[in-house]
Amino acid sequence: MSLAVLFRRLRMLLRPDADAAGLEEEMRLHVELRASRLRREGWGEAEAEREARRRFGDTGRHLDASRDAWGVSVADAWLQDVRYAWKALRSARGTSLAIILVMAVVIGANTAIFGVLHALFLQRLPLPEPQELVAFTPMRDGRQHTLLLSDFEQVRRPAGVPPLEAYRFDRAWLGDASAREAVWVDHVTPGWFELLGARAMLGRTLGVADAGNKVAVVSHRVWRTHLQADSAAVGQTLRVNGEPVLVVGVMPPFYTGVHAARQFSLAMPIDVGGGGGPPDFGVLALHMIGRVPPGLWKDISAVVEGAFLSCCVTSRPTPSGVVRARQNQRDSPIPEDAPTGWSKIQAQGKHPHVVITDASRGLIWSRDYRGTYGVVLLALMGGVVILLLIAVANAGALLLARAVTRQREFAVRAAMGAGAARLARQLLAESLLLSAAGGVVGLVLARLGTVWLQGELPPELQPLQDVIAWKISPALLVFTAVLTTVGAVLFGVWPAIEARRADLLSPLQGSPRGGSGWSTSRIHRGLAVVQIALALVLVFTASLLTSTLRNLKRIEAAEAAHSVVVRVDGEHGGYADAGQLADDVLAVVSASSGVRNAAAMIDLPLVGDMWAGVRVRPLDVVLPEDLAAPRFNAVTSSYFDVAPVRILHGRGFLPSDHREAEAVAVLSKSLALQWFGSTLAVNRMLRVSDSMDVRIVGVAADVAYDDPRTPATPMWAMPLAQAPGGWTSLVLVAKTDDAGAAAVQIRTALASHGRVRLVSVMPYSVILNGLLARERLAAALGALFGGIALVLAIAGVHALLSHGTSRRAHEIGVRMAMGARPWHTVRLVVGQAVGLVLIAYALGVPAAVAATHLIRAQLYGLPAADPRVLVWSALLVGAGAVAGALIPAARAARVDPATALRE
Amino acid sequence: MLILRTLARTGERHGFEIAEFIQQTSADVLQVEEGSLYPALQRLLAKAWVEAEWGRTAENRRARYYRLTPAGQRELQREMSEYRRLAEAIGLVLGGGDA
Repeated sequence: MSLAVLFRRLRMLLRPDADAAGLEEEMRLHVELRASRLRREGWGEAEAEREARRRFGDTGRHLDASRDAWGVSVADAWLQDVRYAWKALRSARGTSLAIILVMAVVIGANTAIFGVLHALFLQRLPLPEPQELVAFTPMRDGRQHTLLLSDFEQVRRPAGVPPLEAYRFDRAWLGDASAREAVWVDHVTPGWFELLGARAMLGRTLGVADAGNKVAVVSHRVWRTHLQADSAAVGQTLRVNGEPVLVVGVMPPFYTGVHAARQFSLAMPIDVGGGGGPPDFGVLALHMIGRVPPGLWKDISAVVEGAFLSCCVTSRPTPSGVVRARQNQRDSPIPEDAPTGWSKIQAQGKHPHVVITDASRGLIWSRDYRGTYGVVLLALMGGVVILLLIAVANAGALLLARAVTRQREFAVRAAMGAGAARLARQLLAESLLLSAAGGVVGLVLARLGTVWLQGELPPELQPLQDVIAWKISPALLVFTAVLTTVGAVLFGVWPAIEARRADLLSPLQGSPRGGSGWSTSRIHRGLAVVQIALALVLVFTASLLTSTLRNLKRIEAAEAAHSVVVRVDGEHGGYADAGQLADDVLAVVSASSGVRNAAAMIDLPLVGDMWAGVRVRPLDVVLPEDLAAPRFNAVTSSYFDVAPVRILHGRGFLPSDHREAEAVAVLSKSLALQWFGSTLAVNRMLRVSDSMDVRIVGVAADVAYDDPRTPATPMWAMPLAQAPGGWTSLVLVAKTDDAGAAAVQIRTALASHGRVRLVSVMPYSVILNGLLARERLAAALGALFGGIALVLAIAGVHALLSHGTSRRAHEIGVRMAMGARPWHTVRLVVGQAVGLVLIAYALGVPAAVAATHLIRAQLYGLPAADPRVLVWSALLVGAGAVAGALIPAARAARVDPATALRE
Repeated sequence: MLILRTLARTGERHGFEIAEFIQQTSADVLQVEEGSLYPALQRLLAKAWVEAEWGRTAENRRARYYRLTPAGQRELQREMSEYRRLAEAIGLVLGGGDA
């Protein structure tokens, strides 16, 4: 093909009217020449003209044919399809909008959840080459070894060890007395920022020259809140723990250090603020970070392990005594979410070794939210996939119904030359257009959905807010596009197939009846059944999750009704021991109006965020080696009334159990069973902290400490006045009649207390609400999905039956003419719906049971296949489907036999 | 095929002339709808078997003149030999003489 021809073709494509003028002129000339020839042969003026035209034929048609001769390229055909599809969709506005809405909701929900999942699991730290970042955690005796600064210097020194940096985190007060905020501070070694590759937004990061100086790099958030986002913030000072610290740099908003979920506020040089002090677990322990290319992990970790073994294992004994989550020598506040001190990294045995872990997605120190929320979110994704299937079935059915009514249109087009493939292509264009529109609207909904999901995140994930900011990441777009296309293909396929098989002749001869209509109806009914069955699965799941939430809230209600939780710090009050501190604060709290009873403790039931590991063993029993250490709590005597905890044997604590009296203890039932095999433990002796002999005076019922779902936490308690370890931070629980008012009073009273610093006051129910955030989220989303699924299923049934009755109007007319009463027709239609529901039960019930089996770990208080909930859900869905049949039934009953028969 | 043959025999012609030639040479047996000539010409143009140029008729009217290209010549030869083979085969089946 020559270039000229190619050029001509392109011109034809882009400017189809360009050649039209020339062709018209050509054809006009022809007609004129013919006319003049005819005149010469003797025809009259007008007759010659007419005859010439007649012989020429229809100019317009020839023009079209001429244009078509140039071959319509694929792009042009598609463009035509799209234009036609647009017109067709516009004419069926209701159906189109319905399908777009359905697709948008489903795509939006899926995209929002995927976005959150991505941020929680897949997103890497915003640092250069994040996949190289690893954490080295030295272990001994099955626990994390407390790495001190001196240890660290030795570990990194030998040749072959890659560049390592370390940090520890601690709490500090930031700001002046009036606008003070408790923040986390990262204490980092000099090369920290360089290793991470993190750059400051303003000023600079910390370096070798800063060692020992009171300087800091602040986060974007701190810059906004404490430095008023001043562009000249570098060089100003901030008060950290009351002392002036020079700000040398501001980090960009996305920098979070290597934390996955904690808000970054400040970074300071490691030895500023008394690091490397006496052996103590938790915040003093250093965490080592290095960069190792993924293939070399094993080798490098062996090298680091060698260095660790040679430097740190032999000399120092394992620290004994009380293990606390903070060091007791510095003026810092008690953290609300005191870290347990143990990271989630598992030791691989009791021998000293080093564990290397991937730090590219951040490290997690508190409750392993990835484990807990991961399951919920994955289950949600499953639910949304199901919803997508329902939506596709719904949309497919709607399009199918419309395709049937458009048979006449298809027949005409086929008669005019459109092949079956062309028709199918055009239908696919329609469905692509619909789902593309659905995808676009879906992205908007996804934005809203993400914002809502962020709000629903529990308190422990709040720091992720900045990270899960809704960005249109390429992954998200690809995901949405794939969903859209899959949906389009799926629900465009059936009508397209139907169009190819359709009988094209009879529609032209009269109204469509029989033939292809029957198979269409079967597919259509199948789609409706699928929708009902899937809706049953989702409704059942939602009901189970809602019941779980209700069961858990009942526990919460029992424990926490009208209680206020007060956290205090008495470190600088000059108290001789915890008992005195407790008495003092209890006096103040109990004096507040409305407080009926109050108790002080160091660990709060149901929340359990203070792990106090006091060494203890029974004197006359040898325990197995690997038995986990029980939880410890030090409480005042009123604890057993306030918590409340039932005493099963012996007694609780009395005011007479003070410092000078005999040391006593109370065991929980599960601990007594674990140690002694029976609950008859009263009067047995314990050895505490390797030095103190303590008598067991009582056995108490089990109380849930960590998780409302696991009530049997083995634990033991001693009176606060006698407990070993200088506890200076306490939690008080006050039983009141009005939690809100009491909270206000207590806050005022303690705020002005000279010796005790108030950390927080809030109703117990607020705290527990936070704990149930995961269940609430799951229940809320489950209900949402179940609701949407049910509505879609009802709509599907409605569409199916109304379509069916309108097409079978003739048959209905015959029946009525032969004597059927209106309610017979109603019964017929509703009976069809019931039939669908029964088939759906057969499919849906096993599917529902199988699906919920997957989430049985999330349930509480009821089995995964709870029959009562199953029956209730099935009835709900069935009723919905029948409700969907009512309008078509009513319409069918109103069919006038005369009109129907005439059609 | 007929258009190609016409152009082969007459050289450069415009649309009307081609139609006239076919009609007259076939002794008025072949009388097609005259307008359908033009889509056919466009198809030949698209396949580059003919090429066209605007020119002036004897009466100084603007007309588009068509002529055969070498490719068109080859196509004509091919089509003609195809047709002859077909005609021969039909003739054989029909047999000589009257039925």
